[in-house]
Amino acid sequence: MNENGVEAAKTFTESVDNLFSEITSWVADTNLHTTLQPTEISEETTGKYRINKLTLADTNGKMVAELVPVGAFVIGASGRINLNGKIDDAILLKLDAGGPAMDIETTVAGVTESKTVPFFRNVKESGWYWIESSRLGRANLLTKELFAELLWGVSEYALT
Amino acid sequence: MPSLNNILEPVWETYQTTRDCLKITSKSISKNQFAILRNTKFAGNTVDAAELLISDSRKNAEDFVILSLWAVFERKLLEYIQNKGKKLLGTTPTIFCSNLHQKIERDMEYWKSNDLLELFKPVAGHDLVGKAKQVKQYRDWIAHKNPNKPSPANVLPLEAYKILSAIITTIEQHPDFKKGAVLNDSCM
Repeated sequence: MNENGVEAAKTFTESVDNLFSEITSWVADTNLHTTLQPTEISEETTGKYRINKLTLADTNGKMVAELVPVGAFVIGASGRINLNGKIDDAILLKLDAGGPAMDIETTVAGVTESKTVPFFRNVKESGWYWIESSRLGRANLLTKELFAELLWGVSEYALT
Repeated sequence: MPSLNNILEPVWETYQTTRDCLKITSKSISKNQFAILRNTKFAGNTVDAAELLISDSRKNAEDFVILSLWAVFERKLLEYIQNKGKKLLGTTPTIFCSNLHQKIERDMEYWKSNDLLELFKPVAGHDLVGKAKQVKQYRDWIAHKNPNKPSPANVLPLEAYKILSAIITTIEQHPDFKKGAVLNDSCM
């Protein structure tokens, strides 16, 4: 673990807590209850650190979905959270404006040509994004409306 | 970026199909459509047990696709080298060239993945090769699943697919590797 790792873990933890606060406010007027539960992540660069996961339950206390932080270090992103439900799961990534890209350099007869290919389309600003794997890399900024759609997709629970 | 003849595409399609099948099965269980599940692994399970099985399978599918993508990709890199190695034989191979060819054929199976990737840096570039090494590192962590070892940088299946596909596409479009590329066939 190094200083950069400690800093990255701290930044990631804060970012996750901020997102969870936002999600809690989105579902405040619905039948869903949110609970923060501590969990632990262990990454090569950060070492072990404690972070919260967010559970969403219905009025009977039955779990509808949970948001589980995966780690601060992801190729091309500064954090990953999984939204897990019984039907499916969805990947949320913390991305900078523009998103990550691959630089492809090819050398032929001593001449190098370069091009940059983005991993994901549609990353116009920094934030948390849902990555659609079925559409090969479309990123969608997480909003209240999108969260409701994702919740339906992973659990068939309609926010009311 | 993935080309029409992308050797990794069947692996990716299988992964997507697996995820969709698990989704459909979950929906059948949640809608109590148990008749559909007759003669399957889920018949006779409680709903909770079936849901746990599906959840575990979804996680495993994400791990397995990384392992599969890497296996197919690495084999393809070795194939490119084998094809290049055949040029050593030419039309009238010298004894030295034959020996060198045999040694490459024999030893290449033991080359470290990172060393193999380094060979393709002039073709695909530092950044792509560096990202492929990260995919390999994550692949190794999944394969060994040592609970005492912290995880390296996480790799989404989609990212692994795109990175490894980009390398294959770039190699196949490179003049040195394009089908029909003509090289001097004398070894010395």
